[in-house]
Amino acid sequence: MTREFASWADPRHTSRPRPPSLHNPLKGFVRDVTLVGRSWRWGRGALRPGDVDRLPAQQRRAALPVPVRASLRDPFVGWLKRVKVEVTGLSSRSREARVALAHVESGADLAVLLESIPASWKVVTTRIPKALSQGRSVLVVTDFASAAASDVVAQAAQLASRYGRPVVPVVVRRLAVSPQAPSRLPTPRTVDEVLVRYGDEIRDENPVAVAQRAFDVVGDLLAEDDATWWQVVSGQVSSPLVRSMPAWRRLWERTDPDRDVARTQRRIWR
Amino acid sequence: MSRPGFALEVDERTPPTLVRSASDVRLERFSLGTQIVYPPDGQAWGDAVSATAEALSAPLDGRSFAGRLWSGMRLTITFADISALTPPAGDDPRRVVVEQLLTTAAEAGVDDVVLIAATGLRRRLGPEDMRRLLGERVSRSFASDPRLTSHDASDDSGLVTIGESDGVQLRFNRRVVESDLVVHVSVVTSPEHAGWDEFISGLASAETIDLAYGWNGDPKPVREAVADRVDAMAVAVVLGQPSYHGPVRFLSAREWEWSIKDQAAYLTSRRALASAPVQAGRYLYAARPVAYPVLGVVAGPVDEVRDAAQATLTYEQCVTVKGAADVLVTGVPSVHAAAPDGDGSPLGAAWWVLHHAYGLGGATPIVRDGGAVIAFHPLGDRFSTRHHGAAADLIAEVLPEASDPAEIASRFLPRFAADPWYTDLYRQRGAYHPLHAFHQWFDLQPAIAAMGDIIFVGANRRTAEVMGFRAATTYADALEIASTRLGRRPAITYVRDAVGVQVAVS
Repeated sequence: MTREFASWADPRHTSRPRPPSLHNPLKGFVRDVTLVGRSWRWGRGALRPGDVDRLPAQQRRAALPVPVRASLRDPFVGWLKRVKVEVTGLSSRSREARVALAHVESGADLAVLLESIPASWKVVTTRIPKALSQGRSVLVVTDFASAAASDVVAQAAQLASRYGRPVVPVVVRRLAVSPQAPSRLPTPRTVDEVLVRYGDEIRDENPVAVAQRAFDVVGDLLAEDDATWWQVVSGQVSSPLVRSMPAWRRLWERTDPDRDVARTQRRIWR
Repeated sequence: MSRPGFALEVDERTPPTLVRSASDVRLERFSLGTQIVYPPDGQAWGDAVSATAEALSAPLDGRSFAGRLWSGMRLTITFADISALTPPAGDDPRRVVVEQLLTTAAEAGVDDVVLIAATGLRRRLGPEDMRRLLGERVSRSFASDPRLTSHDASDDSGLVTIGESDGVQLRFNRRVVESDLVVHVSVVTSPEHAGWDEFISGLASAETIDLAYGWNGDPKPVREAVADRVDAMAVAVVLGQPSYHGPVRFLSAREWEWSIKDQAAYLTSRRALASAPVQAGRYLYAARPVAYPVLGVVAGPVDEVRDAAQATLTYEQCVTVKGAADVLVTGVPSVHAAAPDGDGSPLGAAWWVLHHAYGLGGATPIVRDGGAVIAFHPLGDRFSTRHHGAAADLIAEVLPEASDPAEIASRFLPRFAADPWYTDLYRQRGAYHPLHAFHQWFDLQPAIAAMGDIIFVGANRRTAEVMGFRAATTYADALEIASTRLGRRPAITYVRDAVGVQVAVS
């Protein structure tokens, strides 16, 4: 049995579609402004409803924390900055001070790393002993490959052990794109893809053990790049950290489309 | 500490209140005495890593996850799909849980591990979805590998018979049934989440799901058969109200706490979305991740985990209102459980209002029998027919013929279910299973039967008429329509955001 509908709404009645009309984007703007400005008091904010005044004092105002500085992961901001950042392993929201020991290969990596570190860590890069004693985190960066890297890692471990703070290994891997030729015409922007991987915290009183463990964890984080995370945790690959190679070669290998199906294919490989 | 939700009674000082209508946002002035339900603020930022580690080492039944593993066993990890967490999380807690499960399994020497998204009749997940849910590490580890897959409710080779009921073979995911241990990972943000129902509706065959949750369905025999055959452990992450930050903070901030920046952002968004194509609104909301506070992680037997998780959720989310309302008012966000991609059909919007929002009161409805529901949604025809092809055909072909669910179930459902075109779209093209649209229609029936008027503000009149609803141009017009039945001064309850809140009627 077929249902009966009002004549003006009968779905079987086919009417000619209305021609598209230009939309006035400012239509209704004054009404919107009036509504938004209703009960607004300059310098004192909006009037509060009576029920809100009857709530307990601590419930009247919102204190919105931003647990992770995620601006770079915002798709719009990321597009503006020509970078797409994916942060993994950073799930602990503890505000405890720590020593972030990062593997970076360039200044651009460091800039992204600084953006990805949670603001609640209050990270500093200078006056380290004083900062640690005051409950601020410190950031130590090295390439984990040069001759001086062992000393840097050892000193970071020493500091962490002395102040009883954990060491958090971090690795920054960038899928850079080749620089674009300047053009007067607008061209689509290519976006860098950056992975920031945080490892598990290392806590130990022995600085030598902390340094060794830091090397291992950074090696595993790097190995995730060359293999996969599951192969690393299940012991199917050994850490290739010590495998010394120029940055361009690592980038070349990582962007091989045959090696990594899950990742967006880059234009380096034709 | 998280700030609890509360019911605000509108007075002269109450500012206009935000209402969402798909991708559109607007401010609406509600009449004096209207109760506005504000959800809790997401302030209690729990630590998912430590909470998960604690839950896995000390489950509710005392049998730790590590203690149930042995080298050479078959381990399957199933997880709730994208519809369980809308809007999407910036850092999905399922990633944390799955990573910890896999790490523990690797330490125990378990090599035979399979991960299955419990999608049921919903669309099967693609690589991008997997990456969003499980993170780069897990998704890349198992990319292009049959060990990471979505359940296929129409794949005969992937299903195995576990019993029979009413002449229908009860079939379930073969790998799940043949595994030594199955761990099901849930995120709990509403009463529908976690438990055997989520597990079964995500991993059974289409016929079995229809038998259990279709028209006049009975899930009990299926539950018993599955519980008898599957050694399952559940892990549930209980999440609080999502909070928006940055330029869209106004979506979750209470109106009297809007700063000048929030007001400017609201005005800009409203103007921009009014002029932009509908896809812009979808992109703005569906692609923007939000932060969820972690309220707790529970592990253990499926039933116990569901009870414990739901108890935590109810404690955190519950807002008490004074008496059942004559009129329930609610908006429909662009991204919700029936439209996780922000491209939902009118049927999905109606499901959100008449199943989800109408059911926020649990056993005690928020709105009295014979009352009215006023919702804000365009019920437009510009939705993804790739994802919701069967829903489009149900609205265009079935509902003009019949609206009675029993008649639809007997006359139309078998034809849709047997149509190889829909099956192929579901299995290969990322479409929802044709039965999904029918089940959504069935889910609406309690509210349709109980309500005197169901009015959509700003809706397409034809679509509303076909679905048996009424369309109004403005909220005032909708109240005018409702007043013919409910009088001039009805008791009104407006649920400002139906995500992350439950309503108790005093």
